Amino acid sequence: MILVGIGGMFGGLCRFQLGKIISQKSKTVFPTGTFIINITGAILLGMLTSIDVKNRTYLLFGDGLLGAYTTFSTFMYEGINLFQRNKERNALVYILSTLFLGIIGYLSGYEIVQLLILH
Amino acid sequence: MRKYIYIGCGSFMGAVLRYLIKNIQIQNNYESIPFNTLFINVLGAFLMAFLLMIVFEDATLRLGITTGILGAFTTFSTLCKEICSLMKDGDYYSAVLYMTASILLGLGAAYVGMLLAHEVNLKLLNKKEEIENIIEQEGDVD
Repeated sequence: MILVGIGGMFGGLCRFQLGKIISQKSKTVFPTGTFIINITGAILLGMLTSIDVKNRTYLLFGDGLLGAYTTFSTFMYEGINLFQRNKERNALVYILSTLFLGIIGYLSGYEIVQLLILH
Repeated sequence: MRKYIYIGCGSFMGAVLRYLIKNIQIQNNYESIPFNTLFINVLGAFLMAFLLMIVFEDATLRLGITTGILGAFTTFSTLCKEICSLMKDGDYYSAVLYMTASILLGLGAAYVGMLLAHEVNLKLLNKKEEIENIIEQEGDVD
């Protein structure tokens, strides 16, 4: 449990710092920060699952670090916020693309590592 | 610096809390759908919207609770993993149902959170005005 917490602490700090840097650079209404964070997190979790790490390592990096690095609550808040500001199209594009690329990202991460292991 | 300490501690708590809830064994008729993660994500979305919209004095504390605790409590990577593992099992029905439920309930919860925060803000404002009125009236008596 401590491992999950420690991983979570670093995951949360990474998310905050990266989100800050990205939002400073992009000036669009599209929440690019959370978008990039969630998709990279999904790819990395796919890779981690593919390596089939030991239970403890998964607690630290999977449940802890990557679980906390990616976020669903901010994603939903930003989604509903776009709807409220009458940016329905942006909201739909944001939600569907995050979901779609997240799933594709996870699968790609998983398959890439599988290929590397097999060769 | 205080910001980072708040977010670090918050994320620690959020991740541990998620881990604890994830490991609670619940009985359900749709065994394949991961209700624990669904519950975590929907609850987190509600609290996130509520706390971001409500009037709050300490901005750093709010950042620690929202970006820290709630950000780490909810998770997108596990959601993707669970959807993929349902698809891998050939259970496309559950995968689509789980995905749709997460998004619709999550958005709904965030919306309710916003509305509730708006109500609470109005109540707080009214109370403040009432108190100010009382103070004014007492001043008149003197």
